[in-house]
Amino acid sequence: MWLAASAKFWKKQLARKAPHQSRDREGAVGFAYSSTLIYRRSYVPDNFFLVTGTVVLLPLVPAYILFKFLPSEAGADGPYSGLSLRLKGAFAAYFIVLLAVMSFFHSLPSNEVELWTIKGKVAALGVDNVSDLRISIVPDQSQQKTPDLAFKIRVMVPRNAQGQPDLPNVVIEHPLFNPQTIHLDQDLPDCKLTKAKDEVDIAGDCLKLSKRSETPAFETQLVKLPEH
Amino acid sequence: MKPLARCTIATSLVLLLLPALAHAAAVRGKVERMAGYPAAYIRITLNFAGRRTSAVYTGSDGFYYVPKAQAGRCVLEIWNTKDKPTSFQIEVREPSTQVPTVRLP
Repeated sequence: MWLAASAKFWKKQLARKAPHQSRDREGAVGFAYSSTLIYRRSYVPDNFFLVTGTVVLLPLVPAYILFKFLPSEAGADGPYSGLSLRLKGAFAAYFIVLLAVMSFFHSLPSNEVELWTIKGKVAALGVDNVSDLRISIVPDQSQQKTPDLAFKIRVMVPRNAQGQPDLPNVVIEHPLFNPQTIHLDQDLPDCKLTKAKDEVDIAGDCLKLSKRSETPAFETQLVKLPEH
Repeated sequence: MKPLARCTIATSLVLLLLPALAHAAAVRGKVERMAGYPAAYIRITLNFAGRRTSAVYTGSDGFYYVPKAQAGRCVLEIWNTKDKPTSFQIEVREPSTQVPTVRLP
């Protein structure tokens, strides 16, 4: 019964995070060998220490209750992970309940976003500028766009040497409009960026795109300067 | 109020409002590779005697757009490499300035 209650608790804990908070899932590992793509995933939740602490300490409760009120000479023995175990008394009960809780925890279903790593190597002779190589995800699950032109992007943000989030820039483009760059790490004078713990909200008129040929332009000369 | 005080207040107001009266110019252009394809997501800045504008990036088609630049001569900096830009002298005029296509190696 307590397993069912515990299941409810952990499902609630996992569901607390919104789907866009992809940093819930960390520790993904990938492998690639030439053109063969192999990927693997692992799962370490945000509240890792809480989970581990609970898994380790929770079995103490039934073990204590059992041996406080029903003292016995119960024991458990047999092979486990290549070891031959012979446990006695309360610790045997603790160990068995610990195994049960661990296996239950690992079998919890997941309905959240997972962070995966895909690695590979492209073979293309004569490519000098790696920045010109663009790799796209189709469909791009990191972006959600709605008909009213609202969007939501899930992005992986590394931390810099000072431990601060190293936020990327956002480039918004459309074939008919001038591209616009938003610096998420700067406060722009006419652009209100509302930052929360792991969310940036770009409000106001920051993202007002201008048409490409809106005004006749003065054509300037281009004079190359010597490199320093 | 004394005439001198009135004059001082009027001058201060004009000086305060001058920046608001100044219009900004938009600068646009395109960056390509020598091979003839657009150079996407290249960092672009304008340098006005040591004062750099906030960087903009070229789109996937190589076009860039600096919405609010001051008029005058400046250096167009194209950050093809991380530390050293390729620089061009340009003149920015209001309301909009078109820069010829730049071809990078």
